[in-house]
Amino acid sequence: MKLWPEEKVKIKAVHDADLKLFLEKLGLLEDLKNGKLRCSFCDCVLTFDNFGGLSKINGKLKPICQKKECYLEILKLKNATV
Amino acid sequence: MLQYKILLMLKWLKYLWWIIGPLFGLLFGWFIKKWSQEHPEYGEKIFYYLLRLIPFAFSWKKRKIIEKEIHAYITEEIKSVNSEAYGFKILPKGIKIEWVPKNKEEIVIEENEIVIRLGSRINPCENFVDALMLYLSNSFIPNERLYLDPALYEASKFQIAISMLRKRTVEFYSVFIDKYYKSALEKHKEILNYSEKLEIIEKSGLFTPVFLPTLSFYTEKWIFQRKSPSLEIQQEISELLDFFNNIASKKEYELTKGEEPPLTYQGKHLKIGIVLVARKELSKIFDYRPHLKVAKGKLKYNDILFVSGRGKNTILAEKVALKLKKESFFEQIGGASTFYFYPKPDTIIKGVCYAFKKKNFSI
Repeated sequence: MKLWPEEKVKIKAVHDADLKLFLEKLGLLEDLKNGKLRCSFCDCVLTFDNFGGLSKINGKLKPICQKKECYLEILKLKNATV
Repeated sequence: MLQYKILLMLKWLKYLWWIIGPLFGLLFGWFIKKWSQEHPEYGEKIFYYLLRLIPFAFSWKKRKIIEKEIHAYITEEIKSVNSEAYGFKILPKGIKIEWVPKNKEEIVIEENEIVIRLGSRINPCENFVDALMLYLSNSFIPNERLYLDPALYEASKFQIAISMLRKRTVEFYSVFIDKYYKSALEKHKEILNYSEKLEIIEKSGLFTPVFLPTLSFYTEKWIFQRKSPSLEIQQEISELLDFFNNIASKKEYELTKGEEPPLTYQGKHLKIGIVLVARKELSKIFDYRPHLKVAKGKLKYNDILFVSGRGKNTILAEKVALKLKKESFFEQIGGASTFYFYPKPDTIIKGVCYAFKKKNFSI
């Protein structure tokens, strides 16, 4: 019996140290620096300290902050369950 | 023995590296010094690149530590959960952390893909819990969820996360409760009802060895039959949950109803039997025979049968399973499921469970 699955869930992650380069490559760095980047769920202004991640929904990049509610919302959108 | 020798060799190699490594470093430094004296035009450039290498090496190390911790622990838990489910894949996919951005590569984010931030946060447990929840959203019972009430799926996902976090320190559990569980319950009250029952079921060792494999067993069958998900099926699964909950909270059930909880569930779509190998007075006189008789009787009218024993009764349960396996009309599903359950906060008891179905005869 094979217990070890072959297919893997790839979890894309950005490390704190690479955050600047990551945002620069996506063209979001200037917006973040100028305070123009906002959380897609709670609408708070995103900074280097509270940036939690992002997702692509309907072709648009949706950045989120580190609040638990926003993280849950983005997971929920992905699952589209409850 | 061979495994032990390899481990010992690896250990020695590790120690040897601590001697060879610095020697190699010193030799390399000496060579660079000599070379830069002869070629002063390159010396400055090399020094500049070496300086740039220091933060890169540190950030690589930090990433590796996070990656290793998440990967190693979740991988172990995937193996453990799947080993309790008779070959059914409760968590069918592995996990891989992919760091972005990679050097020089363009960042491609696909539709619905999430990129999470990991690193030196205020609470380091968050890294792990975030990765775990993202993993579970992508891998936990992907086919079975088609037939489940969405709230029950969410509650089951939370319960598997709780069971996976059981071996970690309390801090991880607190982050999970605070960040995910509480927030989800506040917004969706219906999850709470399911979660309360699932918690009781999980603590009595009926969640991974019985409830989840039952869902997988029927899902395989229904997908093969192209059966559409329906409210009727969702309702029956909900009733099945109550059935397991009554068994898990046997004492409370007996107090309120004045009788033992039923050990057979017969609905329109689901037919399940359970044999709990437990009665000392019977086994003292007749050994495994009464349990075997009950098991054979139940398998005639049910699609799936679980034979379970806890603590000292595991040996007797094994005897029943061995005898049942030899019967020509029945078939064992996978191997034995060894699990642990928590009757009291400070007590852990080992249990074992076997699954059987009727043999399919085709001409």
